[in-house]
Amino acid sequence: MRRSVLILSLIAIALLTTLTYHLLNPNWVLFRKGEIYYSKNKYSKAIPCYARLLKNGFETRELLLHLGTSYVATGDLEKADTIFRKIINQSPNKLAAVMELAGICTIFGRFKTATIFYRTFLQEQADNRSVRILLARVLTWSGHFDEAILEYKRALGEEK
Amino acid sequence: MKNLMIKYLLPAFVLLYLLFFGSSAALSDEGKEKFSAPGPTLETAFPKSNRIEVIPVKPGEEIPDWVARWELARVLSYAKLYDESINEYEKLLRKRPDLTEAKLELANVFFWKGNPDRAIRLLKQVPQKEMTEETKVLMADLLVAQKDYAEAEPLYKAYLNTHPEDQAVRLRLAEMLSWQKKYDASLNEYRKILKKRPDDMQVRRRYAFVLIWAGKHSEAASELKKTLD
Repeated sequence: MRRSVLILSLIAIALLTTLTYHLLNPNWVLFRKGEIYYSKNKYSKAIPCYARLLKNGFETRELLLHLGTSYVATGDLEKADTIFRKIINQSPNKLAAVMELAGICTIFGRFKTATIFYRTFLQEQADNRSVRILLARVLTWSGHFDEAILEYKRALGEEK
Repeated sequence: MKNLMIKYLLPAFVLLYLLFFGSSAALSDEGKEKFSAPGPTLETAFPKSNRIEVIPVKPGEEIPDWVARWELARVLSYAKLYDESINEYEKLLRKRPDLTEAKLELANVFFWKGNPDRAIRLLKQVPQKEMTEETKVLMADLLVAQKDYAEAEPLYKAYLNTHPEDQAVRLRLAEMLSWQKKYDASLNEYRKILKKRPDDMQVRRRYAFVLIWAGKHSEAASELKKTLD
């Protein structure tokens, strides 16, 4: 009898703890749900979770980055642009943020947007060879061979 | 049975529950901050097959000049600026003569430019074991263009051993064998192609011509008739 009371109490504690957690931290529960979808590349399912969190005022850098990435992945570039601008404005190191976003756009084959980010970076650091080569690669992938050739030559110091 | 359930199964269930589901409730906020889904990578989101190849460099590592020059040589060839591309490949190979892959690419550029002699000369410098399958075929094609059939034959055969379904290459081998008057070997290759592509009238006609050259006139007539039905 005593044993069954103990077991029932433990079950009750477990259920109550979970319930309390869901009630007290609904945003975290939703965030984790979004992250699970994101990790499985189910971007269209992750977006509503992240968007609702944003509406609830739950705004972290991670959330913005993953929401922006999800928009890029689903081709909603206008919304991605708004989110990415927010990230850049909030970042203490704006250039690092620009590079991070350029990388995300490259990953998803959004070369035009990636090119804009790389050019933005190069306006600040024109002599950064590696970034110029990254720009040249993106230009190559998007079929802009003439511009890519020019950027490669600039990176090699053979063109101004 | 009921006793067994209370004694063992229920405690086990409770423990498992606490272990797996209770832990989410027990996570501190700091722990949750660290819970972050792995992001997509260039490989998962944008498969390699859809990209023009770049030379991989470790993240955070400075991209060396020779990598930039190699990529420039490639882009110049995509833009069909063959002379400039050759120039860049030669600059690269002066600095990095160990880059076999670059040599093979340069041979391709010579071929596209219409300079098969230079392409062959370059390919002959590359050890056979370092050649890709596609390069072996390219070299065989170049050797055939120079009527060097004896050297081309083993290259085609080696390729077809690993790519038996490549009927286009098999056809090139079959044609080459017929030019050498190796009719039986040629007909054998044609038969393999026709087994896979029985409705290919062009191949059947060529097969029929080889039968004529081999003196098998009645068989040739029957094959030609099939192409007219």
